[in-house]
Amino acid sequence: MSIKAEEISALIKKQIENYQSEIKVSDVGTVISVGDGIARVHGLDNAMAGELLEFSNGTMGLAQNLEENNVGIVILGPFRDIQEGSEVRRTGKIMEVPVGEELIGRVVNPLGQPLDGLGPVNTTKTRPIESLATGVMDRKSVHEPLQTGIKAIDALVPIGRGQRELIIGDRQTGKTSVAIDTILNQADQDMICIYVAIGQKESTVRGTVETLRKNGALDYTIVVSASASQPSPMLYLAPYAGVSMAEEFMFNGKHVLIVYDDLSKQASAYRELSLLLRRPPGREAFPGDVFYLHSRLLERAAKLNDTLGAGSITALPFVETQAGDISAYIPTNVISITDGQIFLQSDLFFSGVRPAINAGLSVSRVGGSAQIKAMKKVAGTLRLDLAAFRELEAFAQFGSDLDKATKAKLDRGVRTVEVLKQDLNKPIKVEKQVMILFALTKGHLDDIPVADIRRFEEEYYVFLDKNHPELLDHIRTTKGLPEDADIVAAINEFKKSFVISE
Amino acid sequence: MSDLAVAKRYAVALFQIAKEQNLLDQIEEELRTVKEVFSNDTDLLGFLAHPKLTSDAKRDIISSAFSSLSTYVQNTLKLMVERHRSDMIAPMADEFVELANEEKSVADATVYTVRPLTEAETEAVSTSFAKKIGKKTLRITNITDSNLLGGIKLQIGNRIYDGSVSGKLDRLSKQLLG
Repeated sequence: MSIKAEEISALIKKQIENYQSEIKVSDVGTVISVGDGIARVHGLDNAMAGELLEFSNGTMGLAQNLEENNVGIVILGPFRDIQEGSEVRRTGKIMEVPVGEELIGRVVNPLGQPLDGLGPVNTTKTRPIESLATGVMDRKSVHEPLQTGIKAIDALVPIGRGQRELIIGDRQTGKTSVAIDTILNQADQDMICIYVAIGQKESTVRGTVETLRKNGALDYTIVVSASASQPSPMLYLAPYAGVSMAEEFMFNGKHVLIVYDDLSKQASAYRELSLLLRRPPGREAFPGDVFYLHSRLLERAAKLNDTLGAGSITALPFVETQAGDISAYIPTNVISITDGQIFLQSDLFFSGVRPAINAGLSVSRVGGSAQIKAMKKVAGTLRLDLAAFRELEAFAQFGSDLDKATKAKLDRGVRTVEVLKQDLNKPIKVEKQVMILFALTKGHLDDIPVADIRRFEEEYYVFLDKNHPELLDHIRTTKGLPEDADIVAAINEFKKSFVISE
Repeated sequence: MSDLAVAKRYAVALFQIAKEQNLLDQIEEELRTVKEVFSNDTDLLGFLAHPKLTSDAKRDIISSAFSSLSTYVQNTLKLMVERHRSDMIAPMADEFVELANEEKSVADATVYTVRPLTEAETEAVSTSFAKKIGKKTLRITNITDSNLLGGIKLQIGNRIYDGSVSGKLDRLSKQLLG
């Protein structure tokens, strides 16, 4: 291939003719003071609240406090080489995160950068991390169930798609396990899950990711992690980054489950930030807008109407309590924002009731309308039965001389508690849940010893799968309960083959 | 830093007097010297704040040291010293200059170049950039900086117009690195 000199000359001529020395215009400020991840900057007159700013070493910052003659900036990254007098430039952008399908299966930080060592995330789209929640007319009431695969939740505190259900409890009561099991159960439910880990140990996050991977759940899950070693602004931003990723899917008509693990750590990070920015402290030293911090986040969970594609974001925020105190500041705030709460109690946990859900204190304000018909029928009286049992249980401890009816109620109660127990990482499909709860509430388990209940349950599921798949199919497809006689026949058939242990 | 509001109030008061008396240019010039004196001589502030000296003595010092200045400026200085605001004198002068600039539609600009600008070049820069920011003229301070390699860099207030070769190279390297 020969190169013609004239052509090159012509090209250069064109370039010379059109040569323009472009001038870059930028607004700058100078750092007055820096420390604890906060910089105060003079200048930057036109900076916007929440704008991204660039320090001279390339680190980004977030404009938080706009004051008369300085701007308070939180630094998102290393701030060792930022000094007094360094230059800070405006970028003119509000903070954004990458969004899209490409993120699925990845572990990223709140800025959307990969943490899993699987190379760059090739996303093409971004969304601002702060955006207004969907309005009234764009929404629809929650009507589809989100099957968690946990009997105690699906039966007693059902969650609907688009709902915000708080999971609250002391440390080490199995909060994360509830979320992980729920994510595992979404395998065939056409759901995208986002797990936001805030202020957790890197090893814990690693463990969670491995559990998800082992069970094949990482194929539809994004993990956003701001670990304990990250600076507090990252912890503060993580949930917003997560929900922005979720919104992209929701507006494309998909269903998303987002888990915030946990919001009390986010509130602490925000408190740290606010105190360093010299905002006035209020109750428990939290700043005045800590309610808004959580309400604007959780309000972005929504069920869209059909014209907008009928997508949804279901939020499962976590709050950790100290010694069961749900009347502390953050727990009361988040309880009042969400559509119900699942209360996990440590004494239940240690007495072997796992998941340690306290049925009395747990409620779901909208989920009931999202339960499938069959479940509604079998679980309708479960909550009352359980409450009556708890009442009697305390009372019956004083004497053993009980009349027949009371004894029967107590027996049923013990079996109910037993049935609601569930192993870790073993979510159960809703049709099987219906079948076991039917057996329980209609009294077919009353002649099975308590110690055998769990074995009975397991073998019962296997039996149904093998011999009566039509019953399970019926529930799955019609959402209604099959004929009572058919179920009773199946139960009796199974009971004949079930051997009670001595 | 909220004390800046204080400086602003003194500056506004003096500015109004200057406007009423048609002494804007003169007072502005005088305040520039005052600021220079205060920033060059750090002991002066300590002296003016010293508790062992009576305010009469301090006033005498001011009238003799700044005797060449107009009475309005002298009075302002005396007032501020008496009210223990002597550390606000330099910020006050800055605020005053800003107000005067606003009034005369002038802006201060710092031009960084590799070699000193000629008279004609300064004029050209002044007219072209003044139009850009909507002011009549620019008061240009020229600083030579060989690190620029070529081109010019202009700073007006908090805004930088970077047309230097080094800036372009920086941008290029950022672009290439992603």
